[in-house]
Amino acid sequence: MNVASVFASLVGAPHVRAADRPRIGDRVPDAIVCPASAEEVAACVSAARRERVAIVPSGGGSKLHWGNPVDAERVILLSLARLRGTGGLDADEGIARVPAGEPIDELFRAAAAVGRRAAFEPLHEGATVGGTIAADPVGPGYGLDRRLRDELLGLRVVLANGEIARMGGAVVKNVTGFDLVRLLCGSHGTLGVITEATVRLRARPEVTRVLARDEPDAERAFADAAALRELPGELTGAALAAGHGGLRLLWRLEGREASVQELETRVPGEDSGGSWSSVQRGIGSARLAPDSGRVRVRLGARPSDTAALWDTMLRIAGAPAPRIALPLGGVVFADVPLDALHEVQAHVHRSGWGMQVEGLPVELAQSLDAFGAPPAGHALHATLLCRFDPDFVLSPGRFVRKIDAHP
Amino acid sequence: MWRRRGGREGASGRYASSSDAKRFAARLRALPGVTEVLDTGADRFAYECDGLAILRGNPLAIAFPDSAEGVQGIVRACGEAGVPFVARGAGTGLSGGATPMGGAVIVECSRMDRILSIDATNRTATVQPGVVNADLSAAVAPLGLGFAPDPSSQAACTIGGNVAENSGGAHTLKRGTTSAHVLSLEVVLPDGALVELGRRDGHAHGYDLRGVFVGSEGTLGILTAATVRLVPRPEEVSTLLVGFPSLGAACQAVSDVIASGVLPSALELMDDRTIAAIEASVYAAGYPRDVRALLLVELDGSAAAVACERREVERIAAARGAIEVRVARDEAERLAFWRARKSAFGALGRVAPDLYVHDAVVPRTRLPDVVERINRAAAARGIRIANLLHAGDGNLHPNIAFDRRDADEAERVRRVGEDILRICVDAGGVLSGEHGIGLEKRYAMPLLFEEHELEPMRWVHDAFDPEDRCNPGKVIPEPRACREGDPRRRGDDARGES
Repeated sequence: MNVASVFASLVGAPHVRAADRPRIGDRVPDAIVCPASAEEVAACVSAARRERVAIVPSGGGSKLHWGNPVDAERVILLSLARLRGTGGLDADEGIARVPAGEPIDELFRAAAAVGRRAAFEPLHEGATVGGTIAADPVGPGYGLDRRLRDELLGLRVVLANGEIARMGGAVVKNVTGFDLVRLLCGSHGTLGVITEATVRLRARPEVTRVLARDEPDAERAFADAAALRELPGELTGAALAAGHGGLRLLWRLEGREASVQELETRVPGEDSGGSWSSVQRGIGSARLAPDSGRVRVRLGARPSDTAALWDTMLRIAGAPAPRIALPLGGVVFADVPLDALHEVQAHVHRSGWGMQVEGLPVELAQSLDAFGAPPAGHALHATLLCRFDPDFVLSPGRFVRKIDAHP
Repeated sequence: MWRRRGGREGASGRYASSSDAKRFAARLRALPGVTEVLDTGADRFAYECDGLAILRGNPLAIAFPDSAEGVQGIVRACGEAGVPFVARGAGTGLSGGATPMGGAVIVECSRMDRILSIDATNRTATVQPGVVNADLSAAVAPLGLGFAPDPSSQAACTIGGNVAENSGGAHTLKRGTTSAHVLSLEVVLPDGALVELGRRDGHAHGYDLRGVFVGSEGTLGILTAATVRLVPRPEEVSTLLVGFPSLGAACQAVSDVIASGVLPSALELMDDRTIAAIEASVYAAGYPRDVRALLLVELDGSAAAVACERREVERIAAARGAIEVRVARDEAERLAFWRARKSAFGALGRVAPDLYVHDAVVPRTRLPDVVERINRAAAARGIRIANLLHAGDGNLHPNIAFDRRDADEAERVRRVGEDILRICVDAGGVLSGEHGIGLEKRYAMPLLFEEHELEPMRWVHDAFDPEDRCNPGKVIPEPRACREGDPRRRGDDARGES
């Protein structure tokens, strides 16, 4: 029985289609399967295990170029795009129960309509709730406020054994058993297929103001950026962006009108409302074109080392490479020439920094791990993965190589 | 919930004789990095329980390491001898998480109490597990920083315990629980290996083992150092007491405050019995006595933001029929308000020989209904409850003062505890918000999770501790088949005091 017919019997033939182009990095999946419910997802996972077909779950597909190549002879892309709906918003309670395939933008719109906001930062075009949780991307508020995983309350997950399990709950404080919600967040679809998430909603700020100023040189830019840290909680994001004329510092203030106005006088800048989306989209850009000869790399270090990260990228990869820095989170996004990638990785490893390659070309996949050096105690991570997915059904090979490798 | 089980566990746990136990204690004493080992009957008696005194175990010995090397030595020695072990900090836990089961060795971490480094630039500190929560905040206060989690026991509880329980506290509402404030953990695994979970710079990759270790109640390994986030002290703080004629009105005000967009750093609720207990104690702070419910609201941030939000809270309080609104006039009065609130458990403990502090969470909008149902259920069993709530989080602490020497009363208290959990789960809530499952609520986990939903927790546990040596008998119940097949299942060897 071919792969498509196996899944067509589970989700209906109209919801199984052939892939016309590479969809999972450079890999063309054997089929794209679109279940409509958690139960159909569970049936697909069980069938995949039985038929020895790998599954790569996908929401909007905006981050499918992340990670390492799939290590399986046959693979389907399990699209969760039919798991939609914003009917689970409870503005009074301040929580939203959202199907995994719901686009972040739609969640934002629905929450805004009732005066609320979720902790997702709209970064990647078309990104969904489930995909964002699975990939746990870094946004411009990183290092300032709580991360997405701290605002996640519960998940509904299809496990590799085909069971549907609830994790966490629908309350804002919970220590009932192990925190599997945090474990699933950022697990890149290897521990289970997220079908629904319960997230905390916060009140929308009264005002949002984005200020900016051009910086005369990099040293001053990073010093000014570090000084922003002294602003109180209304500071919800800061970025340094490389442009044609040098570096531009942008920062976002959100809160009460009177408070934001007062903070604007403390650190003067020009109103730059529209520029923030360029920061968000700059961070969440799609895979760089293969003919550009570059890949997007995310580097991480202590906030005080952000300038060093930037300088290192400049030295090794040249002036256009570092694009955006998140100075309060210790993050630099750089578009690194392919021929400089090994040197960047070696330097990052020596310095004890972190590195993630977004869009690792298949020709470099043998010599580089998209996630950089393995984490300390990677054997424990690998043991955990074997417990969750002993048959390597879920995104095999896609995660950190020392963790996600067939024994 | 505690139950009386047949017989008391052997004094030496898995050891056949007391002389064997003595020899093992001597072996621990000789390990490098171990400063002391206690093993007399009196010493072991003192360590039979943690803050949940109604459940007791029987430790083989109590070992005091002063370093990761010492912890590794103890864990390896226990592994070779087939003896379980359990880490303990200040012993302030309220779910029996540090109660020694199966003749476990207690690894007493209170002497690992050094702040190893403070990085003011990056706002982090690396500390040993025995550092007292309040001591850390005091140490970094001159830098304008603090450690956000602030459980009521913060003057005694340790960072190791906070990590084990994912502790919260009054200021969780705005700043999150311990997990949001931990970057990396140095941990001795149950096989004796030393690993780092997470990264000190916050840029960890791989699975979030840091996240799953926090709140695992000492069942996955023993913490030997933690790198935690520090938060800046707010520019302005304003603390209000708002008295209401009913608990329902106070709960409605809480929902209104959250809905208005105000995010207080704390939003605490006390009922009249709690207020009366506090005001009758040495912690009296002049709380109004003629109200049925009292909100303690703390706002922080920039001066302009705090001024705006205070006006909003005062408007909501008036709209909900507040009897009294009192703003702390100065820092001394603010601290007095808090000292009284944080001493509530102590004050309630004066009312009777024993105090059973419950902990559960429900959706915040269900609080009035749930509190009412709990009070009714308790009254039906002839039990009086004093309520203390982290109301902004939907986190309830129904407190029952009782005398465990009265077997009938103790049994009724036990049953009320079960009622509370069922009421909270029925309302869409969970079994614990900050005290953990420990020994106390392990039996109740199937109320919330199906058997197949407990399995992933067992997979996590098996990955860390395949031989089940590390704090056995806690958190996750045995698979149903084992529970039904073995009446003396693991974890049931706790001595109930009912």
